[in-house]
Amino acid sequence: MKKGFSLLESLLGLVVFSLIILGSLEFFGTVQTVFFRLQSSQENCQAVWVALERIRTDFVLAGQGLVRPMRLGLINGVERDGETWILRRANRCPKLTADPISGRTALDVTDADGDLAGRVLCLFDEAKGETVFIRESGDGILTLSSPLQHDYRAADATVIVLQKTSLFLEASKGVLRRKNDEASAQPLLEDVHAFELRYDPASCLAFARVSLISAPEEFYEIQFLAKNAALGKTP
Amino acid sequence: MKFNFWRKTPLSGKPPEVPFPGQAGSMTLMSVFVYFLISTLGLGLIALSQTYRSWSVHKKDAVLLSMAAENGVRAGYEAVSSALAARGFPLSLTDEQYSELRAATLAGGTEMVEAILGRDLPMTIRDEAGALAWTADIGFAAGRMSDRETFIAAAYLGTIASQGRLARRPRAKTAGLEFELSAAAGRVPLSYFPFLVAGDDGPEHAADLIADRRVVLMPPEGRRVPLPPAATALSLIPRDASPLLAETLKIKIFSPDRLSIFELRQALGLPLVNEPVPNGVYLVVNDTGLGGVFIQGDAKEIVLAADSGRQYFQFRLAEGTWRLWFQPSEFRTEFTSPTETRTYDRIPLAIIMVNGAIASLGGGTVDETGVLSLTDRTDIPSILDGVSLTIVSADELTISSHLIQEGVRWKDGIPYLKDSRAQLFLFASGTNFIDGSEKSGRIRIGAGGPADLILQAELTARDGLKIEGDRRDVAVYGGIQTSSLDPGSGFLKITPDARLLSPLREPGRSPRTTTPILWVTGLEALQWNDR
Repeated sequence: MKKGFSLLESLLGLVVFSLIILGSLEFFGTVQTVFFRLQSSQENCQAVWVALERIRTDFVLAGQGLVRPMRLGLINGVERDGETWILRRANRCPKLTADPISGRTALDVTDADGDLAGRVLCLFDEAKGETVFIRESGDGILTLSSPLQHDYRAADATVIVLQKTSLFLEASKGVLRRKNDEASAQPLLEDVHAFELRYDPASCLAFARVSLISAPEEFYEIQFLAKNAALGKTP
Repeated sequence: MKFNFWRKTPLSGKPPEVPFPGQAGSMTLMSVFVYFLISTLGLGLIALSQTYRSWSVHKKDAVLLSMAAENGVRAGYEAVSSALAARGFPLSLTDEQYSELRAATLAGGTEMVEAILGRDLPMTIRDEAGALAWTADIGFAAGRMSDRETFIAAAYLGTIASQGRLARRPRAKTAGLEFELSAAAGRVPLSYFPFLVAGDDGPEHAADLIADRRVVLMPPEGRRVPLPPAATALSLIPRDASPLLAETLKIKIFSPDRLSIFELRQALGLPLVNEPVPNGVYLVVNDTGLGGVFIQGDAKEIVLAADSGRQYFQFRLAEGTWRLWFQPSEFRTEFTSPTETRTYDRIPLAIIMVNGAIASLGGGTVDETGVLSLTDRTDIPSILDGVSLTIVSADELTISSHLIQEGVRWKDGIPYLKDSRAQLFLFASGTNFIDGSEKSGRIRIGAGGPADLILQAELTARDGLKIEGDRRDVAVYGGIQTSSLDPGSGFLKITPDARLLSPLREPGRSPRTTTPILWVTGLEALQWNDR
């Protein structure tokens, strides 16, 4: 004889299974929330780590190739201008083909591409030097924005075209930006709640701290030595 | 019992009576669903944890690899520094060795570096500490060079390429350092040595002075580390001042011949008779212009002053007082002897050769009548900016006051010579310029001068340097090259003149070493290349 469930049994079974399914869904929802929160946290952590690593690299490179101009007091590898950090390093070293003479606004060099216009140049020898803007470049001539202040011997003097990297926080949008020379500033890290960067010129130690809007109480920190700037530090 | 095939699975017995035919397996399906759900979530969490762990390991490894690579760089630089410290510079060279080194250097070779380090290139350093291991390759490339008459100087670009590894990890990280090693070989200018003791017991004597802190070597301006003192038993300081004498008199003296009395009289414009040159001060004048100043006899006092763009000298001898000033910007010179005053529209060579002793040398002030008097003030320059002055005495030279260069930037009581274009070389040769008889080539810091004496000069003493007076602090901004040093109860602080240390720059009129040597003029880290 075929026997089925009674209405009570069916309702009971339905309730039991509904509870199981609801419980499973609740568990699934919780796990999903935790999963995505962990994933988001992980992605944030990675993004912050990449940004801090980029800052560390920029600071390590600051002053690279500029030991002598830094010791002459012509350039600082790391400098602060308001809320913007400016990091400088050597980009190119065109060779002089003629002695630079004070009062002139041109330098004869071997490598003078057109893309050097607008960059800053450092010219120095063992005892003196100066920095000046490049107004135009091409055909082996760098045209300067102002006259040279000193005379140099081509054999003793060095020309370095500087690369400038700027770091700043666009607080209104919560975006930490990085800018190379005159190119547009690129976002380095988004959703930034707080950004703090400290640099001690005496020890050349830097400390960076950042927190995100999603977790303003969580701070990511890094401390490092600006190695190239330290090489150029005068006693 | 063995079978060559799988045994056929026997049918199970008759299945039990299902209570609800057609509805079998509902619970099984539900269980599978729940199991699948939980398994998926669990595996997802495990995968996430795995990713997180990998990321953490990657970060940790990256830091450790950076450390390993940087260790390699540091080990490489330390290897170079240690090799230099162990060699005991200056190294003596034969003329043949110098010729070979010079030829190789001019050809762009790195033989000079191999001679300096005493090792073949390239060098490789391998080491490990715990799980960290590193390998550093050290190489050199020829950079700028300067080939002078008696020596060759070169700057080499050194590179350290390091690779850091972790045990049981396939990845590696590289780091690099560029540095400059500069050196000079041949008969090099003594001004390349900030502190040289070249005598019979030179190394022991120098070590005692440094150990007792009677002599303190400061880092040159713009550098971080003091240069090591140079000490050798070789007699490197010359007695012969003929090259400077020839330049002063604007004549040629062919070595090993000595200057004859007739040649000297002719150069000084005196009658050509076989009589000694009368004591006095002579400004050398000939058809090609003005030479230097030649003084015959002992000078009681020489005072130097720089004022209003003029370089002033006052020479006081037993025979009278002579004065000289010249103004480079106006090309004017005035020379006043006890009997007359002469003016010239040209500039003399800034060399003063004293064939005798100098009893008192110092900086002074000049009054409105042109008379100079010694001063104890440190803010009064005695050497005009742009003038490179050399004073050579055949006999003892006594310094009695400050010698300050014009154009020096003072900061916190410390003079920075780099901003000045003036230079002063003092050389007590210890040999009569005419007959070659031996004299006392000693420099004395006289007891009567200021207690805290400042000398911005290169002091070269053939027969030793002595500080007189009670507990005096003598600060030399330049260098000291001597056969021996007697600081007495005083202290000597030497801050090298960075302008004179570069082997690629014009060395000025500093005397050259008597024999060929190999000398390292600098080791300087230039840039880190790791990221």
